[in-house]
Amino acid sequence: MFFEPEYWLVVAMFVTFIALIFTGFPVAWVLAGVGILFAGIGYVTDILNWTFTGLDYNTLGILHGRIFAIMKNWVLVALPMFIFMGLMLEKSGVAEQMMYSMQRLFGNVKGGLAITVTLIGIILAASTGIIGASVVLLGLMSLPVMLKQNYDKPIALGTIAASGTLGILIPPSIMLVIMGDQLAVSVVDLFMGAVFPGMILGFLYIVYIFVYGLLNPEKVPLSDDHTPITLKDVLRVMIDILPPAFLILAVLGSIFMGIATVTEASGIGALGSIILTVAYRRFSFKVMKEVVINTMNTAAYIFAIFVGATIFALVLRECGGDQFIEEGLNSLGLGPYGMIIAVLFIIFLLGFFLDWIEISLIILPLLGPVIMNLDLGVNGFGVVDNPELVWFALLVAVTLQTSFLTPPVGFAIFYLKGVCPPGVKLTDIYKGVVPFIILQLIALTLVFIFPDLVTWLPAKVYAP
Amino acid sequence: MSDNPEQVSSDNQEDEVHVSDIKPEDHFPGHHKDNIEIPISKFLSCIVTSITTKTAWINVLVMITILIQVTLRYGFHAGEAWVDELIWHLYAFFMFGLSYAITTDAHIRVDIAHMKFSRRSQRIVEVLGITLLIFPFTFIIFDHSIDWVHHSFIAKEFSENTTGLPYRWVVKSLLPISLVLIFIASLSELIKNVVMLIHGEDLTNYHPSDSGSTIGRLFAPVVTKHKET
Repeated sequence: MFFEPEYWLVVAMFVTFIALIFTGFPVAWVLAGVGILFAGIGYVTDILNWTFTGLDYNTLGILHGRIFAIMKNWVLVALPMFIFMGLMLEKSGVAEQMMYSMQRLFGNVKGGLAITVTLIGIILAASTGIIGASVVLLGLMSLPVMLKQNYDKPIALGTIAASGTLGILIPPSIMLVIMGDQLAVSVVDLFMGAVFPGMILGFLYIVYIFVYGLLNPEKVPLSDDHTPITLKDVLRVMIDILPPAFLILAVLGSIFMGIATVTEASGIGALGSIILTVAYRRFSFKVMKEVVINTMNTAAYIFAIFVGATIFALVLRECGGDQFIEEGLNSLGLGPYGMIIAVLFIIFLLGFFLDWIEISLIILPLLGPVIMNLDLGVNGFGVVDNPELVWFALLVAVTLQTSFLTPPVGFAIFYLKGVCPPGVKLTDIYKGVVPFIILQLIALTLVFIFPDLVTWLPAKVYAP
Repeated sequence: MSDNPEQVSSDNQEDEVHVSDIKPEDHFPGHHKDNIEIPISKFLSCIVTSITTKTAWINVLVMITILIQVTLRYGFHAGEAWVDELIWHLYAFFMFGLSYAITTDAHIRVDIAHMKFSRRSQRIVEVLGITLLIFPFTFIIFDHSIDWVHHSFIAKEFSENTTGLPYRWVVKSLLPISLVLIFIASLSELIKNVVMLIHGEDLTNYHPSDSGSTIGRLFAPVVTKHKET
C-alpha cells in the first residue's frame, strides 16, 4: 500500500478526535473543532511542503453550503416530525392502557409479564423511534409490577432494556432516515427492509423469555391473583391495541403502499399522536409545550452531530481520508464478506463507547463507497436499487442495537437506571442484558446469511 | 371504557408516578447540574432560551404545512412548489435548537472518563473546549456565511422553481444567526466555568455583595436552591 504523507494527517485526525471525545466534551463540537483545527494544520504542512492537501481558509468557505444542504434536506424534515410523534405518544397514555390489558391476557403464562413488555416494546417501536422514551416508559410501567411479582431482577431489566431499543430498528425509525440520507439509498427501502429483521428480533426475545420461564419458573413467577382468561380480556386487548395499530397503519401503510412520502407520513404521524393524546384525555397546553421544546432539544443534539460530522468529513476528505479507508480495507485482503464481518465487528466495538448517531454519521459515509464496490451479489430481485447498500445498512442497524445495551456506555442502560427503584444495582442490568446481546448477534447472523430477509419485502412490494 | 372499575384504579396509579415527571438525563452518571448562577451568564443564556423556546413551535407549523401539502396533493391533485419549499424553510429553524441544547447541556458526551474527573477538571475541559473547538468553528463559518447571505440578498436570489419562494436570503440567514446563538450560549457557559474556576467550588462563606463594584457583581456567583427548568 502506497502511504501518502497526507495519510498521517488522516491518522492524526482520528487519534485527536478519539482522544478529545474521552475528555467528555460534546462529540458534535469535538468533530467540528477538530475539522477546523486540521484545516489549519493542513495549511501549515502544505506551506512546509510536507503535504499537498490544498487546505486553506477559502476551502472552509464551502462548509456553510454543506450545512445549508442539511437545512434544505427534504427527507430529514421527517426527523423532527418522528421525534415529535414519539415524544407525544409517550405522553398519550396509550402504552399504559395496553400494558394493563395485555398483562391480564398473559397472566397465566410463566414469564407472561415479560412477554407483555416485549410485545408493547414492539408496538411502541412501530409507532415511534425514540429509544430513551420507550425505555423510560416501559421501565416505569412494568418494573414495579415485575419486582412486586418477585421476578428475578436481571431478566426483568434485560427484557425492558432490549424491548425498549427495538424502536431504533423497527420502522418508522429515525436511525433509518439518517442512514438512508448518508448512504444515498431510499428510506422507504430501508423501512421495508427492517420489517423482517425487527420481527425476528422481537420473536427471538419472546421465545427466549418463554423458554427461560419453562426452565426457571421460580425466576418469572405468576402473579398471586391471576385469573383464567375470559373473552372479555381478549376483547379489551383488541380494543386497546386498536388506536396505536391505526396510527401504525396510517404511517407505515401509506409509506409502504407508495401513497405518501416518508416526510408526508411523518407529518401525518405527528398529527395522529396529538389526536391520540387528545382522545386519551392527556392533552393540555403544558403537555404540548413540553413536547415541542423536547422535540427541539432532541433534534438539536442529533443535528449538532450532523453539522460537526459534515465539517470533520470535509476536511478528512481533503486530506485523502476516503482513499485511505478504502485502500486500508482493501489491503486487508479479506474478500467481500470478510470485509463486511470486519466492519461490523468494528462497529460492534465502537458501540461500547459511541452510540448510533455518531457511528451512522461518521462511519457510514466513509464505508458506503467501499461497500458499493464490493462484489456481493445480494439479490435485489431486479427491482430494489442498491440492494447491497440496503442490506449493509440493515446489518449495521442490527449491530447498532447492541450499542444501546453494551456497557459501559449503553444508552438504554442509563435510561433504565434512571427510573429504577433504589434496590436495583447497575450490575443487575449488566447481567440482564447479556442474553439479549447474544440474541441480537443471532439475529445479525441470520440477516447476514439470508440477505433475502431484507430485500424480499421491498422487492415484493415494488414488483409490477 | 371509563365505567370499568379496574380502569379507574389504573388511572390512579399513574397519578402517583407520571412518566413526564422523570427526566432520565438527571440520572446520567457524572452529569452535574450547577446550583449556582452568575448574573451575566444567566442573562446570556436567557437571550438564547427566550428566542429558541419560541422558535421551537415552528415544528408545529412544519407539521401543519405538511398536512396542507398532503391535502393539496391528494385532495386536489395540486402540488405547489412553494408549499414544498415552505416546509423546509420552516424546518431549517432546527438550527436554532443547537444553541438551546447547549443551555440544557443536552449535547451528547462520552461520559465514561469524564464522570471520574473532579469538578475542577471538568470545568477546565469546558473552558478549553469552548475556546479552542466551538469558537473557531463558529467564527470561521460565520465569517464565510455572511458574505454568502449578502450575495444572495444583492442578487435577489429566487427559488430554483419558478413557482417557488422568493427571498432565499431569509432562510440562508438562519445559519449565521444560529451561529451567533451558539456563540452566545457557549459564552455563557464559558463565563460560568471561568468564574467558578477562579472562585473555587466552595461558596459557603461567600456573599455576592463582597464583589464590590456593579460590574464585579455581574460576575459574582449566586447559589440557588431550586434550579428552575
